[in-house]
Amino acid sequence: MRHSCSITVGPARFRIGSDWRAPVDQLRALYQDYPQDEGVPDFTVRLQATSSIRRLIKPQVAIAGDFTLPDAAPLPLEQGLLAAEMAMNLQMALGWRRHLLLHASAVSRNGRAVIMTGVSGAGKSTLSALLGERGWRFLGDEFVLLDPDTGMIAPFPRPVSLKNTAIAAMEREVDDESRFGPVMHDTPKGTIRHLRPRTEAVELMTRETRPALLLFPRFGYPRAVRRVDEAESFVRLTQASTNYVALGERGFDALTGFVRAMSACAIDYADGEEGVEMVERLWSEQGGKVGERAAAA
Amino acid sequence: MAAPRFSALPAAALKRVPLGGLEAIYHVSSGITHLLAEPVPDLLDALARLEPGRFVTAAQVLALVAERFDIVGDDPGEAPEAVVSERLSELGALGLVTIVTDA
Repeated sequence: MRHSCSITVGPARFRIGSDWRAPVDQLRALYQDYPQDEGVPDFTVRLQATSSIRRLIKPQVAIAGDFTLPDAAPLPLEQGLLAAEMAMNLQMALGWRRHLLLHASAVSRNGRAVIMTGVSGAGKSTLSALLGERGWRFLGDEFVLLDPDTGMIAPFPRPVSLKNTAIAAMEREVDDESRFGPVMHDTPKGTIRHLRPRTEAVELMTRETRPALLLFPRFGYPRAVRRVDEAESFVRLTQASTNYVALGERGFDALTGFVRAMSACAIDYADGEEGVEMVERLWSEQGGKVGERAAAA
Repeated sequence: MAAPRFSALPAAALKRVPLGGLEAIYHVSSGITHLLAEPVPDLLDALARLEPGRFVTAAQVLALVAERFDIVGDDPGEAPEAVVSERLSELGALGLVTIVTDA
């Protein structure tokens, strides 16, 4: 490819090649705190023109790489950064086997993690981003990597993908403009802007954390808290995992062990402030205690 | 037609983990996970307590679990052993127990 860079996030190293310079420059800027050393990558991603003429005229970015979806629509070049992020997610979702992957966000405090999972739009990304600015260590907003051998969480603190109203909310929260990527309008998910995590989250991204509290957040509903039992947690997490089936017996052992060690709640909250306050409250009531039980197990 | 008889799979064929009131069961050879509610795990337990390879009828399984469960069907007129036989046949269809039907 004409342009390329390497990026390491947590345990995974990506090599991204591109027909254009702009997406690679944007990636380098957004990932400026992350190791960018060349080495044997776990995954290769390619951003390539849909045809030779499309490299120059109304350029369209097609996603290619080790793992692809056959019917993925190309994106305009202005959304090249988004294409790279989507491609990196795709590699993890389809190709990663060293951990059980949960589609979830996570933050930690004192070496113990809160895992938040839910459908797209449930608010898990924004909630983890807010907590990451308020004394918690940001572990990731897209994937939680559960080690089947140890039960520990490997951080995967990619830049947070902020969507629509969450962009303004985090712009109010973070006064360092350099941590934000470009604003991308009219993407398949609306307006998107990435936020680089705080430097500490990146510096500590090789340090594993023990999971302690599992939450199923739902944004935009009147305040409510409901206990979630082990069986419901298990079913919802099998649905939230991209590689549970592929891992076979290791996935079963990892996930049953995980839900049995967790305290789990579904929380409905009206806005980000309420969400943060509810997580703090549940953590003080349950998180620490459960974490001790999990650590002793 | 003779009544079907049922036997447990070898112990290594299933991994079973209680999750609250339910039980997650991983079927090793197919890689499929099942989530079962009582009394189904108890039917598996009853079969697993027998010597390996022994086949028993639904009525015999019912006798083994009768101390713990008062099994009744959705239809009050349905015999308890018929309910047990149905559940065991369903487990057989999932590959979680072995079934033989004598000619």
